[in-house]
Amino acid sequence: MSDFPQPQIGSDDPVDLVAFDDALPIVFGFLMRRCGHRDLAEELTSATFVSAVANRPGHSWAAPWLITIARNKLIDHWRREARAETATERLQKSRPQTTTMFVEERLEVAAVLGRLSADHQMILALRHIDDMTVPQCAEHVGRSVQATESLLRRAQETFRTEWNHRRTEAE
Amino acid sequence: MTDDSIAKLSGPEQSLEFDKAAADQLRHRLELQRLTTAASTEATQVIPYLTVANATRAIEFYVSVFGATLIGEPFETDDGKITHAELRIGSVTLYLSDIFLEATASSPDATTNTAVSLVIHVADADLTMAAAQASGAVIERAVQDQWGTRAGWFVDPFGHRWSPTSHRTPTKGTFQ
Repeated sequence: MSDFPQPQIGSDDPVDLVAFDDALPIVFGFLMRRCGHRDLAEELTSATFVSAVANRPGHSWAAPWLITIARNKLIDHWRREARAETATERLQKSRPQTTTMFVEERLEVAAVLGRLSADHQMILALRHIDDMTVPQCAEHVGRSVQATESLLRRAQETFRTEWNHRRTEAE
Repeated sequence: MTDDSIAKLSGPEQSLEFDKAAADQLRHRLELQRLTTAASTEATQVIPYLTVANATRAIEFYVSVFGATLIGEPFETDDGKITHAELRIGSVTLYLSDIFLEATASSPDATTNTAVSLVIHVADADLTMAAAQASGAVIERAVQDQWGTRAGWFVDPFGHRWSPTSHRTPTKGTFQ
């Protein structure tokens, strides 16, 4: 893993274009961090580039523009999941995944995030990773600000429980 | 309220290596997608193929007046005549060649009327017309406002008739 320049959303400065080989790990890192599932992150990364080429068929793109596409793909995924998830599926999802062995803490955090319900993943990623305000989150989540605050509190509590559970297991 | 575990969610973005085989597959898929997109775009585009008396000079003219880009190297005969050249002006493609009477490819004569005229959208019609005039074009009609655009007409040194057209700049201040 390596650091990459933070997207300056809303900046008027010219943005450097990034070719496929350099853009791929940026988009994949962004998605992996938020969903915690390698297969899903790969699938959404592919979907991001397919959309990018459909809109701008060149060989390079602005990284912030790609990240915006990736975020929209992820939000669409979470919304579909939130509609489809049943209580049973959530229970199964919350079990530790033995197939994925994350070494670095960043990916460990992502793995914990990936066990939560789609709604909880979405609100935590938007609020704490993307650093959006609650009203901004509410727009993406499609709920009132008050309902979003409530969702956020529940999501934080679930994340803490899952994180502590994982730490206990590790010890 | 946040505690240490929630704080772990924040921090700078980091890139992450994508599986190489999956990356190769995706790269191949995107190339196919680009080809399909290009093919469908070309299928709906009419490309003017201009015949001119001096293709080398004509290329220089279109580069200086329209900011055209020469795509690849022109094809030439042994005696230096250009059989095919491709220019790109913005998203517009233009082909051109020297005169080949044996292939019935003749150029318009400045003394006769032309059957086909070329309208081209540019950023600033006034500037393009001035550049054309400075490069030897004959101004047929000066730039004027018409139907929400600014447009003029000129005949280039090779007999082709052009109308650079741009959006009319709104007048600042009181609307009259």
